[in-house]
Amino acid sequence: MTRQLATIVGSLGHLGDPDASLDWLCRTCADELGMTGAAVALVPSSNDPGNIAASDERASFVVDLQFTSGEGPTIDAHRDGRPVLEPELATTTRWPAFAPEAVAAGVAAVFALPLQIGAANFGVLTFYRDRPGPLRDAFLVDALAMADVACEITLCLQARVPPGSLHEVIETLATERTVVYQATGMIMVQLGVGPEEAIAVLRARAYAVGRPVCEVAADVVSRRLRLDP
Amino acid sequence: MTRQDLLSRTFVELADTLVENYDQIDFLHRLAERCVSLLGVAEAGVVLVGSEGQLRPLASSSERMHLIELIEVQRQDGPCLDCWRSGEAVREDQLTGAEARWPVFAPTALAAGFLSAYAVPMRLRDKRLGALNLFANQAYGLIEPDEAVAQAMADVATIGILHERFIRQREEVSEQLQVAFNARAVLEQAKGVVAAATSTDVDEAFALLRGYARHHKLLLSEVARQVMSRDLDVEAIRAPSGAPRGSPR
Repeated sequence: MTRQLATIVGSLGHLGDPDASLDWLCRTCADELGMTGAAVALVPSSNDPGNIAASDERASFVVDLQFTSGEGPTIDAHRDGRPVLEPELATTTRWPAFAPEAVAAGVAAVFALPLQIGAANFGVLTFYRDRPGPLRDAFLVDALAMADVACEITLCLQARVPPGSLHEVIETLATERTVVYQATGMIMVQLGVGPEEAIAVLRARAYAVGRPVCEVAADVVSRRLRLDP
Repeated sequence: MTRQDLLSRTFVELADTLVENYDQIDFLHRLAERCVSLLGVAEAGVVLVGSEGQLRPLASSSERMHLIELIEVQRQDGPCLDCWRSGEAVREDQLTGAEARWPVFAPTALAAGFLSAYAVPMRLRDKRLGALNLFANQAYGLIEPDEAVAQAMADVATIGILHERFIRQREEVSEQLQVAFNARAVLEQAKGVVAAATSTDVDEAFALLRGYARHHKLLLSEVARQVMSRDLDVEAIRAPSGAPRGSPR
């Protein structure tokens, strides 16, 4: 075990407030691994990552941008169930919608690790750095261990509430998404399409006008905006 | 296969609980059977504590062993009970004369033909799972080096069981998280569908969904799921009586 991981594991025992522990983990991960920031995202279904904790605004943005564009390292890490390491975001051709906007926001490298337990894969720990360059091997081992810690904390939080309900931290994300899901349902009826196509239409509009999906969704729900096929 | 080979194979098998078709009863039966093969005892059985705190005989190498273990547990008397309570191994090399120690168990075991009885704890530090019972047809039926082997097998099996339980609990929580989140998404999407189809706002759509659920004694989540899977016509939700009518959307 390296010094960084020892620091983290050592601090875990002193956590007074488990509800704040995911935020703490994001900050600690970033500091100890020489990253600029980190975010813990849940991925409730195929390609809709949402943060339940982030070290800073930009870490949060890295994940939110993927929710809007429908592509990116966090989504790939969840889909494939393995780490996605992108040391040079400026030159990659992997995510034509995500990468340029992330780079424009000052994100130079992204590393995404799935939160896995057995066969289940329910979220992703995403790191970013404002300079390009690889994640050193020794740090990758620590990063994977931190993904395990993030996994453990998230499940410990959820284990405290009865089945059928969501822990407050996760509930907050579900609440943020409310308007997006409502708009998806409306677009399904208006365009006669299924839920996946409906959210794709919503995302395409948000991307085209350069606004967050939530804002465009709110316009649809309040009927200020009606999307055409 | 030599004893050494069987011993090695047994330890590997007892450590390997993270397999797709893991079955706890099958696993414990294998532990009991291997004790009989490897330790020269007549019978072996595993007694584990259940979620309600009661000890239960879960696997025995024979029916006569199982019956005695049941009596031990029901009457709260015998080596496996003492072992469970103390967390330490229990030895009785001569059951003849042990009636004072175990007034119920000793005569029962003697009547079944057992002359010595042993129990080793199944525990990891302060986490006590139960006990492994070993009965022999002769006095002094388990030499001390073999008791150490029995304890090692019990230890490996305990770690295997705890590991599997830990992973399974985590998987269950992870699944509950996904199910609860998806139910939330489906409800909100259904509100949107009803709002668009009935030209109302989402609050009114929610009231319609709830009204329908209450009228038909269905869970709200189930009504939302049916709306999304198109098993339920939105017109039926609009109608105050809840009766289906009109054309499909």
